[in-house]
This record gives sequence, structure tokens and C-alpha cells, in this order.
Amino acid sequence: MLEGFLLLTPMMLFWILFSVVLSSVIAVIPGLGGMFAMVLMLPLVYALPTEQGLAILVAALAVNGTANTITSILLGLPGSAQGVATLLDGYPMTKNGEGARALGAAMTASALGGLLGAAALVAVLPLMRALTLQLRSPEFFLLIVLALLFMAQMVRQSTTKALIAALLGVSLSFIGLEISTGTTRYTFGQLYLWEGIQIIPLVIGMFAITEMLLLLGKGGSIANVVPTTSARRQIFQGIMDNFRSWRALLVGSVTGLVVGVAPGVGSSAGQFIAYAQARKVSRHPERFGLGSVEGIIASDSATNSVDGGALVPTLTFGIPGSPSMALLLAAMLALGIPVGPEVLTDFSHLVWLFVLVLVIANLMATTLCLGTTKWLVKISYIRGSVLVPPVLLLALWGAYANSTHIGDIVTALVAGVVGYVMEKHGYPRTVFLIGFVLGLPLEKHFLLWMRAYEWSVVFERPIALLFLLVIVAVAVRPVYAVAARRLRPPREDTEPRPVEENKSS
Amino acid sequence: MVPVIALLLSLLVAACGDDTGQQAEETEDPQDVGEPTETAGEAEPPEDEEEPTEEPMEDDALASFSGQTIDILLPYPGGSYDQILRELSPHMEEYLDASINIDVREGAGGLLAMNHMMNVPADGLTFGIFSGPGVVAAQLRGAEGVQFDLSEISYIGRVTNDPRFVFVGDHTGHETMEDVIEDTDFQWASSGVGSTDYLDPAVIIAVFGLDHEIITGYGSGPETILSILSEETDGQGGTAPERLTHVDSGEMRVMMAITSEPVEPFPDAPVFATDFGLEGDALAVAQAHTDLQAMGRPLLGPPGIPEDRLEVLRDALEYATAQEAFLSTMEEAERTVAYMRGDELEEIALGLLDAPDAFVELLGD
Repeated sequence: MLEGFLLLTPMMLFWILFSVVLSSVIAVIPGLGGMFAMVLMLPLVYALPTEQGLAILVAALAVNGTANTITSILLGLPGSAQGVATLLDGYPMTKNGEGARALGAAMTASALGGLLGAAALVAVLPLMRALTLQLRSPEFFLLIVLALLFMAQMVRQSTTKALIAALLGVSLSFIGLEISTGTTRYTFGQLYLWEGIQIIPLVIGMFAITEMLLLLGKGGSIANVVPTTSARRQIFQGIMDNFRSWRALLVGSVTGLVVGVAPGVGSSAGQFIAYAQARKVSRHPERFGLGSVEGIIASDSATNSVDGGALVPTLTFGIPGSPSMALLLAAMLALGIPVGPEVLTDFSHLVWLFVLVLVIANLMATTLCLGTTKWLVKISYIRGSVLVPPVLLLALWGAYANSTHIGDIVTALVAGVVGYVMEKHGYPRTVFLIGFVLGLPLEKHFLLWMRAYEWSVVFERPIALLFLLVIVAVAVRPVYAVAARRLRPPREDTEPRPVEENKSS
Repeated sequence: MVPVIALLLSLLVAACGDDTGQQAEETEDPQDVGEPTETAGEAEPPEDEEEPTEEPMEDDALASFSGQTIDILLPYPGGSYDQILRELSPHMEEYLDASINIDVREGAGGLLAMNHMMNVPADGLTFGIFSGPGVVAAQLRGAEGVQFDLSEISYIGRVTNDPRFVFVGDHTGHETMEDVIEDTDFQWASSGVGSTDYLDPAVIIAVFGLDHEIITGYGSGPETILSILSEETDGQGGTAPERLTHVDSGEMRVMMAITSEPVEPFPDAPVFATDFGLEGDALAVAQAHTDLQAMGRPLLGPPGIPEDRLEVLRDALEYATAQEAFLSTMEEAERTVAYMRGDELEEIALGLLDAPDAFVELLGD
């Protein structure tokens, strides 16, 4: 670790700060995201000394999961795919006049999740390599099934409507080119649809545009509750929420780490898995989706801890755990740094540097974002007639920036209308979105499992077996509870007593 | 309102800047095999003295690029194509005295970008970097969505050509390609049907008459590598750069070069087209496959670019690929720079359009 510290010169800290500031500004803009910031800084990476160049990229990675939640929370407009789960509870909190608290909680969770991810990277790096090899298709499939089970228990509305929403989401996820067979599904001859429905324009439409339509209908501002506490106090409350809701923080961080370590699930799915699992361990699961700070903490900590986890396969296998990691890997190779087991011995100073940069960048980004929260949250009190036009413009631009194809705008607009209809008729958009995000990975890992193994291999793989047992326990529990209630003899003190006996007691 | 104005200003600045995508899913580089020919000799910078009868036209054509903005389409952001293009662009800018804008057009495995290119003006100011094997295979198998014809497009030149090899996991215990052939339970890993790492085992299985299974659907090259390291699958076809560290560590072994002749970095690996006694249809299919890989990563332009402007672009590419800075970066990234002039590349492509039916059937759909 000392060798990593020795690299933290004033100039190194300056470049980390530069990267944090630039990446934060870019991450806030919907549709751009961390990759855009990293690509912008690539020429600088090659011009600077190796350590400083790589530090810039790692800092940008760390920041992406922090600043992108600002528009998710305040406007229901995700800054990137990594900020989607946060808006499920962040935006409702803003509507409830708790936008500052939501931002405080999210920023702090991002920092703590990032720190935990970095700490795990340090503590268990040699073990993580083995874990990466153990998490394969059976484990991923069962993990996603578990998340879907937890999600099913989130339903508050009509079960039928929730089921329809979930199936619709899963069905929509199957649109596109199915890579294991090379078959196009429901693309209607459109090349644009080969990549499937894009998540960013879908979420922008179904949440941001829908919410703006609803806002226009009801009038007023996003926040329809006058806060009883000051923004500063709310920010502090949000910070402290992370320690009060340590279960959500732990679940989110660990989930993000696991998802990052073993590429195959994807960070977009990982944040929802963390969200669903956090609901499971929460004392107030009924609040999820209505403005639960635990939901924010779980998803944001997962988003940031994924970076620490994703560095494991990137550094030790040369296998990038995410598109951003792929860019980092390409830069490392271009700078003559090999990847593989030897990076832990021959380039250990770089590994420590990455860990320290993750920590420092997370802290810098959180401080920067928290420092501007007091002013940012005022957006939620702007009259809808003033706010809606620029937000819609920003939303459509964010949708278009996804892949610069007109199809993204069409997707966003259609999703906006569909989301509006769903909201009006009580079909939960949250459940739809989770089904959409998890549908494709679920199918992928099921097919790989069935092709590469026998189905019975689950009994030979400890982690898969553990997941299976938990699934059975979770699935059977409601049935058991109902059966137990029916079998239990009625209690004597519940039987109606004669009037005179009641008077005497 | 201040933050909103700041956001909108940022939007304006970003919209004026480089337009790169951010959702780049790392797909397997449909990389190339074949003869990693030496890099071209030093290309002359724009000053020249010979052949005065041709100079005025060439000078005019070169001068016409000066001060212009050139859009280079990039279908695969975030990976090796991205890196190669960004390393190449400054040198081409220098030669052409123009500015280059990298226009990310990902989707449909590069077909979106190819189809877009077919509809841009043929003035040499818009072209793209593509997967040579990918676009040829798409046309040969009549893939849905193909709106281009390789017999009509403009070939600027090939940039790189990473040879492909057969890699197996150490857990298989296989020492030679013959061991792989005899293993009836061998499982190949592939990122997806239609990708180059699917075509490699499909051709090998067909040529050697094997009963192997291809486990496809991993979605990316890195995931296929991980599947081998975790013993979920046994081997795959792929390029060296991403797998070299695993070979050096003993986790993977090289069984065969999917080429027509010995190539680095594994010159001792037996050669697919020559070392296995292939004859007749089997040899024709093997040769077609190695020719397909020889397409490498080319720069391709829309049909009808004027010949003089096309020649300037070819010269610019030749110049760029000969620059020491570019070569050293590619060497550190273990990419094989293999410049081939556009007219030579066009011959290979047109030859592939007459590939044997047995090979075309393997491309499937």
C-alpha cells in the first residue's frame, strides 16, 4: 500500500480532481454517462505519465455512479443506465419534498459503496479470482430468479396487474437479435431493433416523460409537499440514513461487488438485484417504490461497488467487467501494462493506486455533489409549466444521445405514453422495468446452463445449490404460512363470550 | 433556474463536441487471420517530385481535403476498433490536413453503420472502419438487413489483421490439435451465431467431420474466455492479444493457427490450411475461411468515390499505418498492423463472393 501512497503527488491529486469534476458534469447530462467522459479524456491519458493517465480513467469510473443519480432523483430522468434503479424511490422522495434527503442518501451511499468495493478489492483480491471462476451460468440464473422472486413480493397493487406488467417487461426484453441462434425476434425488419429496446430511452420515456405529463395534468411543481426541514438538515439526514439502514448498504455493496467480479449479469441488472434484495431484508418493505431511502441506498451503493468488483476480472484476467473497464483495459495495454496474475506482483503499485484513486475520487465526487445539493434541489419546486418544456427537451436529447438514432426518440415518446396509461390504470411501471432488465440475462444464462451442463449440475455446485435452497425457502414460505394458518386450531379467547361474562371482565 | 441553465449550456457544449456512444457492450472482435503481412514501406508525405503528368491531379485531390471535416464511422465503440481508429486518426489528419470526427454508429453488428454509409455522398469525406469478415459473411449468407453490395463499395485499405488461433483450456489436457479432434465431448465457446468465434469452430467441425458442440450465446469475447478458464467450455477460436497472458500463465494452450501459413506470435502452431492433409472440398472451405479472415479491419467507403480522391485516402492510410507512434502503440497492444492497399483488398473481397457453397452454408442465417 505504501507504494500506492507514494504515487499520490500533488499533480496526481490535481488530475484526479480534474477527472472527478469533468466526469461529474458529464454524468449529470442524461444519455452521456461515464464512457463519454473517459473517451473525452483519452488523449490526455496518453499524454501524461502512465500512472496519472490511468488515475484519470479510474477516477472517471468511480464518479459515474455518483453524479448520474442527480437527475434521476430530481427529475426522474436517469443520467445513465446505472442511475435507473435510484429513480424508483428517489423521484418519489422528491415529490414528497425530500429531494435533498434523497440526494444526501444517494451520494453517501455511492461513496460508501465505492469505498467498500475498494476495500473488498484489497482484502480479498486473491480470493476474488477464484470466486470469479465459480460464478457461472447456473449461479447467475438462480441469482436472477431469486431477485425476481423478491420483486414479486414487492407488489402492492393488484397481483394480476403486476403480473401483466412483469410479463410485458420480460417480453419486451426479448425483442432483438437472439445471439445464441442468430434469430431476430419482433424486429419487424428494422435494423435499429436488432439491439433490442434500449433501456435509456425506455426509462426516459416511461419515467421522465410520463412524470412530466402527469405534472402537467396535476399542476404545481414536482415536489408537492412543503418540506418541514431545511435542505441542509435533510442532506445530513440522508447521510445518516446510510448508517441507520446499514442492511441496505451492506446488501447493495456486496451485490454490486459480486456482480462486478463476475461479468455476465451486467451492472444494470445488478442494481435491480440489489434493490430487490434490500427490500427483502428491510423492516419496511412496503415503502419501496413509494420513496424508501433504503431503496436508494441499496441501488446506489451497488452501482459504485461494482467498479471495485469489476477491476478484479479486468486486472487478473484481462477480462473487462463492463464497457468502461474495457476502455481502461485498452488504455493499460496501449501503455504497455500487461494484465493477468502477474499484475498483482509486478505492478502491485498500480493496483494499490487504483484502490486509492477509487477511494479519493468517490470522496471528492460525493463532496462536490453534496455541496451543490442545496441549490440543485430547488429544481423540484419550480412550477411545472416552466419546468416541463426544458425537461422534455433534455429528456429527448438524452434519449437521442444514447445511440444517435431517431429510433431512440420514438422509443422514448412511445414509452412516455405507455407509462402514462400504465400509471392511470394501476399497472406498476417499476415491476415492468425490473422484468425488462432481468428478462434477457435470465434467458441467456438459462440457455447457457442447459447447453454447457446437465441440469443436475446445480447439486454439484455449492453456490448454485445455496441459491436454489434460498429460492425454495422463499417460494415455499407464503404457501407454508397459509397452510399453517389453516391448520392452526382457532384460539379460545377469540370466541365470542356471553354478554354477562364480558361485563364482569 | 441556475442549475437548469447550466445543464442546458452543458448540453449545448456536449452537442458540439465529439459524439461517442457510451453503451458499448464489448462484442467479440470479429478479428482476422491470414497473412500478417509486413507493414508497408514508408509512405511518402505529401511532398513529391516524380511523374509531373500525374502530380497536378493528385495535388488537386489532396488539396481538396485540406480544411475539411472527415467523418469516420465506428460501429464498435469501446473496444479494439475504437482504439485503432483513435490512434490512426491523428496521422491521417496530418497527411490530409483535415480534421477527423469519429462518428459512432453501433448496432446490428456493424450493419447499421454499413447501411448508413451506403447513403452518404461519395466524396471521400465519410467512410468507416469495419469488420472485414463480418461484412463479407453478412452478404454471403444473405443476412437480413444487408443493404450494401461489396462489389460496389470503395476499398480504402486494410489496417490490421490479427491472426486467429485455436485455444483450449489447460483442464482439457490436450496437447495437439489431433487430441481436440479425437475428443468427442469437446465444447467450443462462442459469443454468438454469426460472430467470427462461431465461424471458426463451425468450419473446423465441418472440415474435420467432427461431432463437437458449440456453446454459443455468451455475448462477448471476454465471457467466452472466462468460460474456458472456469472449465465451463473447452476451447475456442480467437486472436492472440486477449489470450496471450493466459497462454503464458499456462491456463490456455494453442492448438492450431487458423491461417494459410505460420504466423506470430505462435509460429510453431500447425497451420489449418496446410498441415492437416486437407483436400478437395475440405481444403476449399478451409482456404475460403482463411481468406475471409484476411479481410481484417478495413476502411471502407461508399460506392463511387472518385478515383483520385480514393487514391489520396489510400495514401493517407498507408502513411498513417507506417508512423512509428502508431506502430509502437499497436505493438504494445499486441495488434498486428498489416496494411494492405484497397485495390488488393478488393480482389480478396470479390474472390470471396465466389466462395464455395459448402462454405457459404456454414455461414448460415
